[in-house]
This record gives sequence, structure tokens and C-alpha cells, in this order.
Amino acid sequence: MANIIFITAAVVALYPLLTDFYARYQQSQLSEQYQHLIAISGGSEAAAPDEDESPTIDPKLVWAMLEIPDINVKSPVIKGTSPETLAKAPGWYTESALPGEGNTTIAGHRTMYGGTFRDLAKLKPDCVITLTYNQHLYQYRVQEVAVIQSNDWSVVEDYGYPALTLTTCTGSDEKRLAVRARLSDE
Amino acid sequence: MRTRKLQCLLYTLVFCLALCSNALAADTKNLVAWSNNPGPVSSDPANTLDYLDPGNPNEPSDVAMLDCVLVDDHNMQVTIGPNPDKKGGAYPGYQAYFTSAIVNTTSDQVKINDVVVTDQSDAILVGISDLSGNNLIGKVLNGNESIAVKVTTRIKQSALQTNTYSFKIRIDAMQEASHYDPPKGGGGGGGGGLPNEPIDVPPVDEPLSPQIQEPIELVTPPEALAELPYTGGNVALFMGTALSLGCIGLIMRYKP
Repeated sequence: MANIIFITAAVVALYPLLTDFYARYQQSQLSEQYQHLIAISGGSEAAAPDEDESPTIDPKLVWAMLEIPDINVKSPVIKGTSPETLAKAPGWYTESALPGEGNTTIAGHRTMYGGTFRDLAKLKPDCVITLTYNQHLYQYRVQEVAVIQSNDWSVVEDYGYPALTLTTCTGSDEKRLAVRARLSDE
Repeated sequence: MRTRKLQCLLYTLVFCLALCSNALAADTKNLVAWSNNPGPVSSDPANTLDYLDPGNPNEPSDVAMLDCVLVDDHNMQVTIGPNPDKKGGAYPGYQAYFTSAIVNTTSDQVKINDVVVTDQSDAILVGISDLSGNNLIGKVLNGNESIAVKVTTRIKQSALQTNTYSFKIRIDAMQEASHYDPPKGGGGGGGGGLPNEPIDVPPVDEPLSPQIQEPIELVTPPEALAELPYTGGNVALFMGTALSLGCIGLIMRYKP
């Protein structure tokens, strides 16, 4: 009986680590398949696949690639913000705009499930964030890092200019951390 | 001796970890629950004339109705709006009630603190009484006691005309210092203080007739906003729970 309890304790203790492994595995798979998809759709005959070869990825699954060099983030972004989606990778709020067309909003985990946005609070104004969507690179510069209410849906509203908003949790269930960045002309 | 010391240490550790991992006191929202036996009964279902305040010179008419349904043990969903096949809707001064029963879900005494309206608190007045009209705020319920209640709702004068109001009602209570409060027969004591005496009483020369306009627009009340996606996780909770389990395992392994 004691052994069963020890095993249960070990599983509970390791669960956060297991979610990290799961998310990182999913993200590496998604990244590989995304690169494969890009290579296939590159347009070169040499890169044209054999008839038998087809991408194993659902082209709709990887929505974009997100990079934040200042906090060492390089992650695929998938569509949607359901708990199952966010367990794999940062997710794009489908209520928000597409890149370049308005305010694009992405949510990601701060703890567990890879913690992609663990260091989001360390971003400063003018930090660069790049989003590769539809083989087009969008570069944003951070304008503001703020703590908002957990039901503050202004993060998906239009700001009047192309923007990128990243959201994640803080230590409190009633708050969220939001990073707003503006599309850079550079 | 050494084993006993180890036991004491482990018991202390488990107790401390239990406090920090999952120790929550009983929430005031959950001490008193609605009972579904009997279920709620509206005083103004469809095709029933609306209540008129005493002294109101108008002829009673059927413009609005009150519907109530239990959504969970602690929340009664109330909707005040137009009858299904008629125009109109809730109007300032509309008053109706429903009868139901509430139960103390604990084995200790609890005192009813408040009746809370969520989602439309700015437009709705609510009072709770027993079936004799005695105000139940401050009423002490014995452990597992159940009583029949009458919940009266009234649309404030400042509210919109011909509207639909959908809100939830919850009973808040707190644990009472223990002394036995024998059940009373017939509900003695206590005064009114209910919307039997409505706070916003329309003057007699201002007839409470609903303003039915063409075309009628039913304004949907704003719903409470959902939260942004949850992207955290309390790692400390997992560690605390794991340590507690580990300590229990050690106690079981090394107890004499």
C-alpha cells in the first residue's frame, strides 16, 4: 500500500514535467512538419514531392511561427485557444485579426505545457517579435507590457493599427499578462 | 523513541502541507442550497395577470411573466420578460415572486446573510421571506434544516421599459456560533422589510401602465464576460500534494 502511495506521489510530482515534455514534443513535431510544408510549397521542381509523398501535417494546424529572440522563444502557433490546443503550443485567438490586418492576439502558457511565455514579463519596449504567417514575415516592436483583468477582452479589439498582442497568466487567476506590440515598418 | 520522533515530525509535515496545498474553508456561497423538492413555482407564469401595487388605479393586465428554474444547487435562474406569444416585456415597477425551498447543507447552524443577484443587480430588487412574509435575512437554520421560502423580485424604476431580464439568485450564509435554535411553528418573530413594501413605489397619479411601442425592441441584457484562456498552472500545488502523499507513505511504511 505504501508503495502505491509513493508511486502516486511520484506521478503527481512529475505531472508538470510531463506536460512540459508533451508540449515540447508537440511543438518540435509541428515545427518539423511546418518546415516540411514550406519546403514542399517552395515552388522548386527539385523540391517537388513524389506522388506518393504527402505532408503528414494538417496544413491548417500550424498557423504561424513565432519568434521572440530576447526571451529565446521560437514556437509554432496553432489556431484556437481551447485548453487542448494550448496544451500543445501557443494559440491564435480566432476572434482577433490576421497578421497585418489588425490586432493579432496569441495566448500561451506561462507554467506547465512547455511554458513558452514563461518570460514574457521580461520584455521591454522596443523588443522585437517576429511572426511568420503565410510565408510572410511580420516584425513587431513591443509597446507595452501590462497586467489586465482575466475577463478583459479588449486584447482582441482593434487598436487602429496592425498590432500583435500576447497574453499569458500571471500568478493570480484573476489577472492576465498582456504584451502589445506594433507592426514595425522595418 | 526515534521512530516516535519521526512519526511526530511526519505528522506535523503532513499537516503543514495539507494547509498549504488544499485547505479551503467553507465558502459562504455554498452553505445554503436551493431545494428541488418542491421545485420553484412562479406567481406570474404565462397568461397570468401582472401584480399591481395597492392603490394603482389601472386595470390589471398581462404584459410580463416570471420564469424560474434551478440551474444548480446554489443558483436559481430567473427570467422576467414578455409572454411567449405577446409583445411587451418587463417594465419598471413589475413585481412577482416565486416560492421554493432552501436547505442548510451543513450539519452546523448557519445564518442567512444575503440574497444575491448576479448579472442584473442594477435593475432588480430581491427579497426573501418565509411563506408568512417574515424576512429571512438573519434567520438561523439548524443543521440540514429546510424551509419553504418566497422570493420577491421587483424591477427598479430606473430600469428599461419592455425589456427582458435574466439573472441568477443565490443565498449567502455564514456559520453561526452554536446554540440550538428550535424550529418555530408558523414563523413567529421578525418583521417585513421585503418588497412587500417596495422601495420604489410609484405615485398613485402615475399609472403603472407599460409603454408598449411599435416596433418593440427587446434589449438583451449583457452577459457576464468569460475569462481569457487560462494559461497557468499551480506547480506548487502539485508539489505540495506529492510531498503530502510521500509523507503518508513514509508513515505507513515505518509505523511500528
